[in-house]
Amino acid sequence: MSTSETMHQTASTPSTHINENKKLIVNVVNLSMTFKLQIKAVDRISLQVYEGEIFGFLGPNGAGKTTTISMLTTLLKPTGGTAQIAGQDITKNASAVRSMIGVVQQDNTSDKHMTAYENLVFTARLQGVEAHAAKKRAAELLDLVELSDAAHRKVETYSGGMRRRLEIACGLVNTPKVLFLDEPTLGLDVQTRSAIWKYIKSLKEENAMTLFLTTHYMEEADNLCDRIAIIDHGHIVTVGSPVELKAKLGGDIIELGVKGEDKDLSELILKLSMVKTVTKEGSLYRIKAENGDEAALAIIDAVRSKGYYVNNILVKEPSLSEVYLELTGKAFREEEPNKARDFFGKTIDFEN
Amino acid sequence: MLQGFGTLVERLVKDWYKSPFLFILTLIQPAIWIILYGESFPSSGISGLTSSYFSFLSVGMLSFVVLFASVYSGMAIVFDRQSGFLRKMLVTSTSRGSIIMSYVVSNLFKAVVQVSILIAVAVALGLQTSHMTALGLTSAFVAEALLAVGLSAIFTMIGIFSANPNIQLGVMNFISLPLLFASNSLFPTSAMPAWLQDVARANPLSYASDAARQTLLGASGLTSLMFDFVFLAVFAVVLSALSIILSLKFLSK
Repeated sequence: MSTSETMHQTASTPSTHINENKKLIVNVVNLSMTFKLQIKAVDRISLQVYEGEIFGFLGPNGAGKTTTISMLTTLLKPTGGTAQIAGQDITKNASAVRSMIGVVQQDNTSDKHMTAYENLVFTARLQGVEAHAAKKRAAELLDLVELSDAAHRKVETYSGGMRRRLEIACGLVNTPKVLFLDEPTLGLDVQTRSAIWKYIKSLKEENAMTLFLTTHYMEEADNLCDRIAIIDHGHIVTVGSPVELKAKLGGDIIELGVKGEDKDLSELILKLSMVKTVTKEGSLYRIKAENGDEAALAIIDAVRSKGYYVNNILVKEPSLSEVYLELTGKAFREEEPNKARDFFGKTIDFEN
Repeated sequence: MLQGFGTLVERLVKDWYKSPFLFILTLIQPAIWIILYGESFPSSGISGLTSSYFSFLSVGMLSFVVLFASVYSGMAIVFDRQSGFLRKMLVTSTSRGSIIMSYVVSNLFKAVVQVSILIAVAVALGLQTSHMTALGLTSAFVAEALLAVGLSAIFTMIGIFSANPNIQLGVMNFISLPLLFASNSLFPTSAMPAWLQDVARANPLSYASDAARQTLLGASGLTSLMFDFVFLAVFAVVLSALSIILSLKFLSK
C-alpha cells in the first residue's frame, strides 16, 4: 500500500504542471452524440489531453465511454461539437485523423482465418505502409508483444490474452501519435492484465505516445493514468490526476452497519464533530469523516449510547473507487451494455 | 484514394481459394448446372431460337453463374461486420470506397473464373463454336464482367445496411430467382407473356445474355449489341458509384 502511494505521488507531480509544459494533442470541444429516440449518449463534453499522457476515461456502463471513443476514432460521426487530434479535425478531416491514431477496440477485430503476421501486414498496408516496410514492422511488433513464436499460426488458435496482444500490435502498425484503447484488459486474468499494462507502459515511455484508454479496473487506472476523466450520463463529472481526485474527496469513508435499528441514526452521527456527511444506502451508512479511525470509535460510542449495536464497521482510505462511487453514485461493476437493433437488424450501441 | 485496395482484394480472393472445399465447389457448380439443365430441357417446342437450345441455354447460363456469384458478395461484408474485422478496416486511413469496391472487385474475379470454366465445359458438351472468335469471346467476357460489377455492387450495398446474415440471405433469395426468371437467360423473351417481356427488357441479365449470344453464337439479338453494352456499362458504373457514395455516408461498424 505505502509503495503504491508513493508511486502516485511521484507520477502525479509532473502531471499537475502538464498544462504549462506539454503540447495539446486531443482537444474535445462540446462533443455530442444523440441517438435515435433522443437518447443523449454524450452531451457536450469538452476535455484536453496533452502529449505523452496516459489519459483514463472512466464511467459506469451507459455513461458514454465507447460512444466518445467511437467518435474520436471516426467510427461515429458526432451530432454536435467536434474534436481535434494532433491538429486535425475529426469531422472535417477524418482520414488524416485515422492515419495518426491507433485503435485497440473492445472486441477482437482480427481475421481469425489469417495468421497474426498476416493480420499485421494487412493492417499496415491499409494504413499506407509500403509492402516491404509493412513486413518489417509486423515482425517488430510481434516481437514487442512476444508473439513471434506464434506469428504464423492462425489467430483462431490463439488464447484470449494472445488475441489482445495482437490487437494492441495492430493498433501500433502506423506508429500512432495517439493510441486509443477501449477496455484493453476486459475479461483477462490478473497475470495477463499486468502483462498487457507492462506493454502499454513501455510503449508510452519508448515512443512518447499519448494513450487514451477506458478501463473498468479502478486500481489499474489509479496506477497507470496521469490524468482521469469520469463521465456519467453523457457528462464529464470530473477531470484530474488520481491524487487530485482523491484529495477532492476530503477525508476517509466509514461504512457502518447497525443491528436492530428502528430509526434513522443519520442525525445522531452527523452531530459528531469529525463527521462531514452521512448518507444511508440500504442498511448501510456511508459516512465521510476527516480522521477515519478516531471518528469510527466515536461513532461506535454514540450508537451504543442509544442502545444499538454496531454489527460492522469499515474505515476506507480514499481510493479512486471511492471517488468514483461518490461522483456517480454507482459501485463499479460490469454490466451488459444496452443494445437495440435497427430496422435492418444492425446493433445500435447505446453505450457501454 | 486506392491505398490498401490491392491488399483488401487479395484477402478476399485468398479466402476463396485457400479454402479448398469452397473453391472446388464453386468450380464444379457451373458444370453441374449446365449438365443438368442443358440435358434435361427439351430442345423442341421453344419458339424464337436461332441456335440449338443447348447453345442458347449454356450462353444464358453465363449470366446465371454471374448472378449467383454476385449474390454472395454481400455476405462477405456481413461476416466481416460480425467478426469485428470491418471495424479494423474502418479505423485505418484507407477509404470507405476502397473497402466497398474490394468486395465488388474480388467478386468480379470469382465470376470471371466461373464464366471461363462454364464456357469450357459447355464447349466440351457441344456448344456451337462455328461463330466464335477471339474478339467475340473477349466481348462476351466484358459483358459478363460488367454484369458482375453491377450486381455485386447491388448486393454489397445491401450489406452496408444489414448486420444480420439472415436478413442478407433473405434479401438474396428474394431478389435472385425473380431476377433470373424475368430475364432471357433460360428462355427467349418471345416465349414469355407480354408483361414479362417488358420486365425482362429492364433486367440487366437480359442484356448480358443477349450480348453474349450475339458475340458467341452470332444470334440475332433482343436489341443492338451496342445498346447491350451501353446498358451494361451504365448499370455497372451507376451502381458502383452509388455503392461508393452510400459507403462514405453509411458504412459503419
